[in-house]
Amino acid sequence: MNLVLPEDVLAEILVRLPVKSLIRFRCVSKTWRDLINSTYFADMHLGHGKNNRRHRRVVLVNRIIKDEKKAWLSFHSDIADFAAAAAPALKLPSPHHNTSIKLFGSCNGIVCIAELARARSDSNKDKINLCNFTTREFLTLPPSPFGWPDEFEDGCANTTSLGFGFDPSTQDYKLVKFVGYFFEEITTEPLIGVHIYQLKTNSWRNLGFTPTEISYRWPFQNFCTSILVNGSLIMHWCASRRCEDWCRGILSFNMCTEAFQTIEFPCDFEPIDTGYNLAVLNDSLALILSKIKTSRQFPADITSIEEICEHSTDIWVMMDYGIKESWVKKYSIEPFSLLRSASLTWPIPWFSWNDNILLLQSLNGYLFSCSLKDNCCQEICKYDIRGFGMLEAIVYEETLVSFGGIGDGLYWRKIDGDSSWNHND
Amino acid sequence: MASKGNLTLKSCNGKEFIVEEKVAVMSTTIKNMVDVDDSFAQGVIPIIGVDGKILAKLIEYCKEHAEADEDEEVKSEEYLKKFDEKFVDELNLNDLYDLLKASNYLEITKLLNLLCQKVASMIKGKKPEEIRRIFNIKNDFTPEEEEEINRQNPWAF
Repeated sequence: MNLVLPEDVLAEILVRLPVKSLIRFRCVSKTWRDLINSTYFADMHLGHGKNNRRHRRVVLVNRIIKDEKKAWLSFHSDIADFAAAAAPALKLPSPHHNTSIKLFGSCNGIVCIAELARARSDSNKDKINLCNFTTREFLTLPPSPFGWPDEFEDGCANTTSLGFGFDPSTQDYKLVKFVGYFFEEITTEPLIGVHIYQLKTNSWRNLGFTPTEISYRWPFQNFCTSILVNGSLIMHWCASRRCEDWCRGILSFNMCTEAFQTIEFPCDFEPIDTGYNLAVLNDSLALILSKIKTSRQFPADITSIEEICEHSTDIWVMMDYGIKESWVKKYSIEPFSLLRSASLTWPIPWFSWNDNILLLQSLNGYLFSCSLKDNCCQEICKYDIRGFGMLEAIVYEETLVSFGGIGDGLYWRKIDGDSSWNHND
Repeated sequence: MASKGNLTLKSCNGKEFIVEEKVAVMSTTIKNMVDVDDSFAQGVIPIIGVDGKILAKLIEYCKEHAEADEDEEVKSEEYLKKFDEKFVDELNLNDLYDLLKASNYLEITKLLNLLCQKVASMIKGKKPEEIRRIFNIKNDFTPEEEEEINRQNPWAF
């Protein structure tokens, strides 16, 4: 019996498989290996995955155990398995007392995860990494070569935020790094420098400063939210006007034209009492605002809070991209029973899972998942995560995208499932 | 000789099938033949490399789907889904394989997708050696080469 399938039929079959099966099947035969390893097939698999969202998304949570000062990541293919994921899937380097590990976005299965200095010090010591957690390919970017701008007097610099995405016009991955330049004279407004890294050339470019005519030019250290608008990938961060002014808005960056713009929030709010985050809901930009009314300061140990403050979360969706008038308050989550019993929700580690799951972490150590459906929000599950610090969550697709297929001369390596990403640890 | 609106398809082992044109043109390959050369519409269309048994299966599939495209009420989406499930479940490995090749050659995209999905679900959790057995593939790696691939991604095994 001759069962040699034409290669295009074989590709059509394999493109439907999860990455784990494909990696295993590379040792079936040389034909299978060469097909699975090819950039052509990786792109085909990526495209197929985008059109068929199911089984393609996993969430990873940045978990830092407060007492042990250890950080680790865990990976979840279903919201039901948060509780089961008590064991670390991947250890992170113990966060240095003055660094923090943060997730800044994902694109085509590659997640941007960075270890950033907390203090205003030398931003070039930051470690910015890109990782395809599915194939375990891990790349640490070279530091950006741009130091303190010569034209200014001394001060200090730190990385304000990052963004990562794919520019379809150049078929290249780009990383945007914002560096805040803070001057010794504190009344002087800091400037935000923009550095661009491109994977194909493995090199940095200096784009200057976020333009002064832009209203919100200081992005916060939260992950960036990307949306395709008319074929261009546009990245978004919550941002503020200047350090002593609490005005908030959204800063956007077009990956293709490299132009900045701002988008106004839908409503006024008191930033002290409000947690906020951006998300993508049904391919539209969404803003989550959590209002917390409290009359007293949080104690240092937040888990001891038992007094309930007034709390509610609104989810706004921008129906027509870029048009302020099109913000619609789609969901309003009152403090429903679970949340009420769990005291306060922490400002929103949020992700979308099939576009309709919201995660809320409460101050007394619980994580809630809620489903957003038919204009209402229902609790699904409650997970005990006491002992962990603030969680971050991000959705990524399982892809075969390999750094080797993107640029020459990229020095990437494999990380094992149960080991740290630092070989020297 | 087929009457107007019908086409005659002839398998590689000489079996002839008279089918409605709307059924036959579910195959892009046949559609192109008929569009380009009118004589095919009048005469017999040879289906190279596809035997009578497989051609009958193809026609059975195309008939259901062509009718569903025409009248959604009689053959609803749900009906088609059930038909598709039953259709692939009843196939043995050899038929599945022959149908894959035939639907690829005849460019019956819907059926090709259905069959590919079936094979994908069938092999998803299998070990490499089981895959080789199913597809009768010769392992052309040296033990050292195979070891090296396994070593690169131990978590996938």
